[in-house]
Amino acid sequence: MADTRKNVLEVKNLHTCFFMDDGVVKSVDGVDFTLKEGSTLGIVGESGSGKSVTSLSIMGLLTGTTGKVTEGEILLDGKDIAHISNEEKRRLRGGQISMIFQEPMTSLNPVMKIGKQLTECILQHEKISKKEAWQKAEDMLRKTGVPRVERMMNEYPFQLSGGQRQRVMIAMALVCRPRILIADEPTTALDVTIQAQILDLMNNLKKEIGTSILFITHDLGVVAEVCDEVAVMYCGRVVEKADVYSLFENPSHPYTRGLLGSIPKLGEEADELEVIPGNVPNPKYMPKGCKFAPRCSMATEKCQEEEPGFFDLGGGHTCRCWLCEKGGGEK
Amino acid sequence: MENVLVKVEDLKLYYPVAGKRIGTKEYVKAVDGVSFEIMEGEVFGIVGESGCGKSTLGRAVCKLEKPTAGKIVLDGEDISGYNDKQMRSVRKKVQMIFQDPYASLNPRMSVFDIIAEPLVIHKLTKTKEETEARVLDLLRKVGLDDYHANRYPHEFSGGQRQRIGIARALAVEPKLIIADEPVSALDVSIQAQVLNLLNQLKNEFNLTYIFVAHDLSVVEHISDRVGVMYLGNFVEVGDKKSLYANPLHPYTKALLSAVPVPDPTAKKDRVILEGNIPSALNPPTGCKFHTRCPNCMECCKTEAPKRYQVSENHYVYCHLYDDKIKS
Repeated sequence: MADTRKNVLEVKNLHTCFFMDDGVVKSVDGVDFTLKEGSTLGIVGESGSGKSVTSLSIMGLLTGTTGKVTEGEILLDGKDIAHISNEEKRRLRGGQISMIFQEPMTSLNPVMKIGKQLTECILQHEKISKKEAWQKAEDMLRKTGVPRVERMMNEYPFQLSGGQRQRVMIAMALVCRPRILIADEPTTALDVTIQAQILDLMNNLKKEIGTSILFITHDLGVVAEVCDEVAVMYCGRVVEKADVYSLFENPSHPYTRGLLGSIPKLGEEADELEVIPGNVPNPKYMPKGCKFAPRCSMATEKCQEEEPGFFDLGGGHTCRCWLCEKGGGEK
Repeated sequence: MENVLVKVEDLKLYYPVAGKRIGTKEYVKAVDGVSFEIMEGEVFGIVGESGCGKSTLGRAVCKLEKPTAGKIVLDGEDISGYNDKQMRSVRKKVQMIFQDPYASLNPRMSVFDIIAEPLVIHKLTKTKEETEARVLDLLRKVGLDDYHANRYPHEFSGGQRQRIGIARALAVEPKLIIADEPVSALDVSIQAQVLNLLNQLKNEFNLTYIFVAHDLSVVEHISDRVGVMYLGNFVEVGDKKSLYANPLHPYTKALLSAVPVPDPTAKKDRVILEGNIPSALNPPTGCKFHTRCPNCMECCKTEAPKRYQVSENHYVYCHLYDDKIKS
C-alpha cells in the first residue's frame, strides 16, 4: 500500500554543531527523516543522542547559543526554513510550527496570566481583535479539558498543577492550528496517570486539528502508544527508521534491541535485564567507525573501521548496521 | 527468610505548616498511619504517584525524618524513641541510596574519601592500609576501577555516580538498604545496569531492600512484595505476582493500565483517572481515593476502609471487598 500522504516536514542531511572554546561538538551529524501529513513521528534516544538539538534546529531556536546548523536542509511544505532570516523564522514559530517542552513550569512565563500568554501568540499571527483572540484562547483551553476555564484564564502558572500546566502548554501550542507540533518529552515530568491523560488528549487534538506531531522521547512505551513511525537516534545519527509495528516486531539495530531489552516489562518475569555495557561516548572523542561499535556485542573489525550506511529491510524499514548488509540486505 | 527485619506499626509523619490565620498551624499528612513488615532478604517495593508520601515513608523508617507517631522495630530493636546519638549505631544496619546522584555526593570529596567516610565514622577499620583495601574492594564490587578512587564526583556520569552511592551504602555492611528512586534519574540502558547490580549485590551480601519508585515496571522487576501508596496510606499490599496479575484496588488498576507498554499491538482497556491527586493538607474524608474512584459508593465518602485480606499475602484497603457491603 503506497502512502500518498504529503510530506509536511523533510529533514535532509542535517548537521548541527556547537562551537565551544575547546573544540567543535557535532551534536547532530547527518540526520534525515520525513514527517507525513497527519502522522506522528517518534524520535527516540538516550540523553546526548541529539534528539532535542534536532528539534531546536527545526524550530530555529539555536540563535543565542554557540550552536549552528552547518549543513543540510529543513523543508516545511517544500520550502527551506533552515537558512532564512530571524524575522521569517519568527513568523513560522507558533503559527506553522510550535513546540511543547518537557518542564511546563519553566517554559511558562511565571509573571504573566494564562489568558495573556495564550492570546499573545494569537495576536502575533492573526489579524483579529483582542476580544476575539481571548475567545479563541478560551475555546482552545476548554478543548484540553481543564476545569473552570474562565477563572484559569486569569490565574498565574504557579496556581496550576503539573498536568494543568502541560495542558496550557498544549493549548498555547495548538491555538494557531500549526502544521507541525514538536513535543519534546512532554510527559516525562508527569505521573503515569496524568501522562495517560495528556497522551490521550494529544491524540484527540491531532485528529481534530490535523496537526502532524514530531514526538521526542526516551520512553519506548510512550512511542508504542502514540507514534506511527519511529526514528532511533544514537550519537547524533539516526540508526534505525521504521513504522512502529515493524520496529517493535523486528528491531534490527543492536542498539534498538539493547534499548528494548533493558526496560523491565510489566507482567514479565526476568532475573536479569539485558544490558548495553558502557556509556554514551564523549562527543569530543567519537569512535571512528560505527558510533555504537564500542558498546556493541556483535561488533566486528569492519564496524571499528568503517561506518555503515543505511540498509533497506523492506517496507520502509531501514537500519544503519553492517549486520543488515547480508541478512534481509539491500534489495 | 523467616525473620522479620523491619516492623512498622501505625507510622505517622505530619509536617507542620503555617495555617490560614497567623499563629495557627495546619498539618500536611505525608504518612498517615502505615503498618507493614519486611522479612529478611526480601525486597519490598513502594510505588505511588508524586506526593503520595512514598519517599517520606522510606526516610521515616531510618529516621531521617522524625516520625510524629508510631513504632519502628528494626532487627528486634525498637528505634522509635531513639535520639540522634542512639541512631548512629543503628545506621550501621540501615543505609540509604538517594535519587539524585548529582546532589547526594559531596563535590569536594574524592571518591575514596566518600566511600571511606562511613568506615571512619563507625570505626570499622583500624589502619590506613585496611581502609584503603576495603574501599578498593567496594569499588570493584560495584563495577568501578581502582583508578577511579582519586577522582571527584563531577568526573563521572550519572550511572557511575549512582554506583559510588551504592558503594558508600555498602561500606558499613548494612542489613537493610532503603533505595529512594535510585534509577529514575538514569537513562534506560544505564538503569538496567544499576538494577542488575542491585540484584547481584542483594544475593551476594544477603541484603534486604526497601525500594521506593514511581515506575511500576521497575518495581515489579526488582521486588518480592509491593505496596501501593495513595495520599499517605497503603491502598494495596501484596506479593508481586498476585498484585500485578490481579490488582484489586481501583487505584492500582488505574495505575497499572496507565503504564505505556512497549508493544504497539497491545490494545488495552484503559482506565483514565479524572483530575489530580488531592492536597495532603486537606485530604478527602472516608476513603481518600473516593474523589477519583470509578467505583465510588456512598460509604466510601464517610468511612475509611479497613484492611481486607483477599488471599495469602495480598491485602487491600477498599470497601468493595467487604463481604457485608458486597451482598
